[in-house]
Amino acid sequence: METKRAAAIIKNVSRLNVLVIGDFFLDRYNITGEPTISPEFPVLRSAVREQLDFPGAAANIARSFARLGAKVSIAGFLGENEAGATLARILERDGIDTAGAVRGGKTGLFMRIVSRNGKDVAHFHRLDEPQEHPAHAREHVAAFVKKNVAKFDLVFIADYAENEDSVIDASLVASVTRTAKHTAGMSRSRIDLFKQITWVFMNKLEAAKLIGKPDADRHAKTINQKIGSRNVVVTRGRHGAVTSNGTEIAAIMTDVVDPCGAGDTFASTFCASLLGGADENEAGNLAAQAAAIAVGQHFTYCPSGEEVIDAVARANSESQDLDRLAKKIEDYKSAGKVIVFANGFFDLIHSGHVLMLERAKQLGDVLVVGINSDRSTRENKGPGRPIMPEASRIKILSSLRFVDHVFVFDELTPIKAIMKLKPHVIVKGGNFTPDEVIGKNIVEAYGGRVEVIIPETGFMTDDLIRHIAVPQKAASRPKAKRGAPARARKSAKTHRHENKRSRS
Amino acid sequence: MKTSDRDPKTYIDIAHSFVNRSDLPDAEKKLIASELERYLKVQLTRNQWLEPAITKFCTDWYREFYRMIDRADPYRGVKDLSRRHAERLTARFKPATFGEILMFCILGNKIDYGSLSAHTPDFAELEQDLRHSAAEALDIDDSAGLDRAIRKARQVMLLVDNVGEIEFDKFLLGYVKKNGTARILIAGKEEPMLNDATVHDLRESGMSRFGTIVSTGSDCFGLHEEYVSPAFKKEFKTSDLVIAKGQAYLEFFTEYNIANVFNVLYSKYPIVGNGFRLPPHKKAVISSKRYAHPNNRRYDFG
Repeated sequence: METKRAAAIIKNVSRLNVLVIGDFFLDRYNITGEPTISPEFPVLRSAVREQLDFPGAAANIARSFARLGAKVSIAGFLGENEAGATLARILERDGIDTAGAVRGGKTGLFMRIVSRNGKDVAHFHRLDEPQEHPAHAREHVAAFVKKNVAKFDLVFIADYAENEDSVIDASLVASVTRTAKHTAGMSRSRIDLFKQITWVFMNKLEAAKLIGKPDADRHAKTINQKIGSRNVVVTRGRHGAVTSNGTEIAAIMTDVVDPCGAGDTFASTFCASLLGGADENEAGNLAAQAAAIAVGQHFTYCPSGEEVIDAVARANSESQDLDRLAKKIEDYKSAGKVIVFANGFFDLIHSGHVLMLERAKQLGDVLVVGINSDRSTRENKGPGRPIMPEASRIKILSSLRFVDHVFVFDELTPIKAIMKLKPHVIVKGGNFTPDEVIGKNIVEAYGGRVEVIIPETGFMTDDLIRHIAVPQKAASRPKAKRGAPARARKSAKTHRHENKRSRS
Repeated sequence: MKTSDRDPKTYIDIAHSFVNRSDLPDAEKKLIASELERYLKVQLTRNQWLEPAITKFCTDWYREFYRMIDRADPYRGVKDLSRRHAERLTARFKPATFGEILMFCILGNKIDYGSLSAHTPDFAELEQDLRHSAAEALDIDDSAGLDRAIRKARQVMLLVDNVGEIEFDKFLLGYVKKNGTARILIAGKEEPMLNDATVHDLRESGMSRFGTIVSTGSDCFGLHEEYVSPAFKKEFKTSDLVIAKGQAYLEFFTEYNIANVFNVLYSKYPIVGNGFRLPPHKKAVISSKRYAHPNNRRYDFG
């Protein structure tokens, strides 16, 4: 998919009005250090270091639409308990209109005990406080939908609660499908309610449970017929997704850090993209990109529209626009992440580069790599360079798991990029002193630092090019004379050996 | 002329000089200039590759400065100032002979904010120079050859240098128009580069009265084949006389085997090129036959 096309679709998403109806929960992560054994009982004991709150269930769907750029309202209820107040605050901070949610009852709270040591996270325990909806919540939601449904381009019904606790019932679903322009939904246990919904999302396990076949994901059409909905999408984790229309959506290969909420991200991106003008294939591709971003982050993560576009650009081996990247870096910094910056020509990428970048990533949370454009490389290195064109260099660097962002700069130096991105750490590989690293004065002016990493392999591209060029000359190279320094004799021997090997 | 023929410190100085002219906040200017200095020092101390042709190296180096300041034009103000002063001075003096006209063109070449603050022109001093120009002599004088070439040429191309200076070039263009039958082309840069005259500046100064204004298609110093436009190359190829103003064109042409060029300039830095030397502060009209050599590069007209 072309990046321009992805950007156009995402731009259209910003014109959408979306209503999310359902069960709005709060996911809470109590982050602890390394657990020890309690002296009182043989149980794990840990001190809570940090508490992180994320919107869960329908609230995650709402946030996911909002992060893509849509205008989002919710209908349901937000409890009068602390979880409800916290959730309302988070949703409003993300620009989500909560006027359609009645205040009362108890918002469901899902509390995780999580141990975090550096970047390693281990989930230990989950404690659930179920929701209790207030009296008349269903009537309120039904009245809100009746009055406002015409304003929305899409109504998404997210049914996460147990049957008796949900604000969603058959009459509400029927009312929505009758009156809304477009509908979508997902349900943990009452998929039979979702007849006539335009797009129904379920995961592989839910699908298997529904039709009693372990390979149910291969039978999306059968599921569709069984439910009576218009379209079904079955998400299959690392195997991608399949629609009842037969569209196979490939997953984006990535390191899975935390899959929590990725299904919500997939569903919201898929729907938003379709309404933004995408066809099913395009919507699937964008949804897969968004889900890949979500699973690559700790805890529940909703990627922004910009991030999805960047992911498409990366898949197309395009570099990231520096302005867009700068905005993203700001977001990372707001989240307390340490930004590491490395730059270079990366012309003939070798193990020295890879080791340097791997070690650079260890110095922070986000590794941004700037590469000299082809023109910049030519002006810096002379005629005949670069050997590898820009697109190839981007593709290789982008595929390294520890490289988060790659961009190209056209200047002779990365000065401008460093001034714009203001990384915490500038890393330079090779035999440089810190005083020789471009950007040192800039980064130190705002409290950052420079780190020089000398790769263990000692590789340098220039050496590599010379090394490749040597055998051509070696044939005419004279033998080292008796009495010549040992290094010269060794060198001559090596060249003879190379010639012999190349003849064979 | 080669990049290595000049003191490397000059290249660092011009970075500071350029950035200081920009509208950036002082702290930002200081950081950018210090980082550019670091870059060049590393390139030099580690024997990294540097473009050997000085005009090309300087083009790339200055382009980098423009990129650093988001391609703003820090020389706009001094260009306007130069034009006003030059108009005032050229209204006061009327050179009569070909020798006086050339001397005016050369003294006009002193109006150069090009590289360093050290070369900021002194208009009072210039006025005195013009007043006493009749007593001045050229340090290299190929003016007789130039005069003959003007009278014979079918197409003359004037490669202009700086804004302000071009007001003085009008005397020369008037002479060419009066004494020859040639088609006259006046070539300026496409985009701003220091205080060099662009085609826009040429039009604003009314140079179209003397001939056709053409663009080199580039902002580069010299006329590097990979930078100038094919349309310009065509006009350059068909010009049987090229009059090139200023130091940069001399630095450029000394690398090539082109015999129909006359350089008219006041030298600001020492110029070295393929056995040819010109010290600073010299007034010269130089035929390219002095330095053009079969071993020099041949210009690729495309």
